[in-house]
Amino acid sequence: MLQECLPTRSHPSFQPTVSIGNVGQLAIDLLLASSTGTEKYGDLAHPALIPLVGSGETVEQTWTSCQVHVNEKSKVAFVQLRSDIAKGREREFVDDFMDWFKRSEFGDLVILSSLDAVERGESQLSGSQFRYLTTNPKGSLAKEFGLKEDWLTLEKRPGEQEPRLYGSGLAKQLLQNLSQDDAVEAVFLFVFCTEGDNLNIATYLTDIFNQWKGSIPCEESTRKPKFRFPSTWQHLYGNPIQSNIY
Amino acid sequence: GSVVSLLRPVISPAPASGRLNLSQPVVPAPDQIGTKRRRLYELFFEGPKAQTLLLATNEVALGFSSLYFLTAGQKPDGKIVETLKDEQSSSRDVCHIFTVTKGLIVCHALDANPDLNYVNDIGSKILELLETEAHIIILASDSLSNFKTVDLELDRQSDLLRKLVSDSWQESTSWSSPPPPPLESPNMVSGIPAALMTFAQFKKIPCLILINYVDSKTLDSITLQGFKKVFEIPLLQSFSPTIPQKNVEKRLRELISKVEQGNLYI
Repeated sequence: MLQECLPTRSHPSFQPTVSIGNVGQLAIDLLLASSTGTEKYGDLAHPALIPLVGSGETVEQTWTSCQVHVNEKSKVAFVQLRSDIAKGREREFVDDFMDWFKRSEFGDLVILSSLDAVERGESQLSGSQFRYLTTNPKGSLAKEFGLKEDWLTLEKRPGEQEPRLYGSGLAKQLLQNLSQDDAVEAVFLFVFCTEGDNLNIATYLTDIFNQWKGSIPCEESTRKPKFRFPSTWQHLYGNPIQSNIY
Repeated sequence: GSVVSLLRPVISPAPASGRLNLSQPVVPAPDQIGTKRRRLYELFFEGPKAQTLLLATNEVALGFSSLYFLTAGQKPDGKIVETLKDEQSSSRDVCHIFTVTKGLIVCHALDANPDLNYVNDIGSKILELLETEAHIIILASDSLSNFKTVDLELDRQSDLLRKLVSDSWQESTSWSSPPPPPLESPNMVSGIPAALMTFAQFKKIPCLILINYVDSKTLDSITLQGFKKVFEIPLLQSFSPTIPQKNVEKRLRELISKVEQGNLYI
C-alpha cells in the first residue's frame, strides 16, 4: 500500500554528490530555483549526514542538509545534498541511500557531479569539459536515456580498467554499487573544474542538463534557459565591502 | 513536508491523502550509533526528563545561561562523556546537565567547535533527556562578521538576534511580544544546534534556535542582552530575571574575570 501511494513512483531522480567545487550541488540549487512547479516533498535524515539547517527561499521554511523536491507536472524528483558525509561513513550512507531509492520505486537515477581538472588526460584538456557515464557498460543505456549524441563518455586512461573519478566524491562509491546492481539504471553527469568560484561551471552543467531534460523554461527568441539564481548563492564569499570605510 | 529515515524500510499504512506516510519513521536506538566508531558517547543523568530543554552552545550562550538560569557555583547533575576508542581510552565531558526546576533542564555544550563528524552522536544523547511532549530551546552565538547581508544598517549593528524554528513550533502562541526575525538565507547553522533541529524536524519536536550575532566573544551586557528575548517565551517566563540588578552585575564581573585575557593585544 505504501508503494502504491508514492507520488515519486517511476519519477526519475536527480541528485548531486559533494564533489570538487560543489558543482553538482550548485547545479541542483539552480534547477530547484529555476524550474517552475517544483516543491519541497520532505527531508532525508541519516546519522552520517553532517547536520546543517537554515531558511529556504522563504524564511517560513526551515531546510535541513538533505531534502527531496518533486515536480509533479514533469514527474521528476530532485534530491539536494547540502552538506558532507561524516568521515569514514560514506559506504554506509551510499548503501542506505540506494536501499531507500529502490524502496521508493524511483525511476532512473541521474547524478550530477564534478571531476578534478588537474587529473585530466591530454585529450580532455581542450574542447567540451562535460562527460557522462552510465551503469550499462555496453552503452545501450545511452539510447534508452535519450542522451545527446554529441555527449562524450568519460575516457579511460590507456591501460586502466576504469575511468578516473578524482574529486567526484560519492559518485565513485555510487558507481561501484550500481555496477553490481541491475535493479537501478543510472547516468552520471560530470564536468571538469577546480576548487574556487564555480557558479559559471554549475550554470554550464545545468544548461547541458536542461538541453536534455527541459526542466527549465527557455526564452522564445534565444532558446536560453530562464535561470533564476537562488538566494543561497548570495554572499558566497562574504558581505560586500562597505564603502564608508574609505 | 515529511521526513524520511534512510536507515531501515518503513512500512506503514498509506494516509488518505495518498502521500507518503512518514509518521512512524525508524530511528536507530541511541546506543547503536557509534558502536563501530572511534568515539563513544554516554549519558550520565538520573534525574527526571525535561518538558523543556534549554541548550547553550558557544561562549556567550554559556555565559548567559550560567548567569540567568543557574545559581552561583551550581554543580552539574549529569553529563555526556566522550570516550576515545584508543589505547588510553581517554574520556572527557562534552556536555554538562543541570536540573533547574521540575521539567526544565539546562544543558551546556562545553566545546564551542565540536568535531562535525560526531555532532549527531552528541545530539542523539541530548535527546534522551526529553519527555515525549517536550520543547527544545537552543541558544547559540556567532560572530557578527559571519552574518551575511546586503543591509548596511544591519552590518553596522553590534548585535543581532535571529531565530530558526522547527515545523512543529507553534509561533503564534510562543511569544508574548513580536518574535525575533527569522534567519535569512543564505545564513545557516551547523554543529550541535543543527543536529538537534534536524532531529526535531524528524521527530516533530517543537524546537527553537536563537542565534545571537555579536561583534565580540567578550561577555558583557551588550553581548548578553540579545538572549534576554528568551524570557518572552511563555515556557520560560517564570524564569524572568528576579535577581537584583547589582547581583547580576557582580556575577557578570565574576564570570568575566574567569575568562583568560592575555595582554598581547589591548
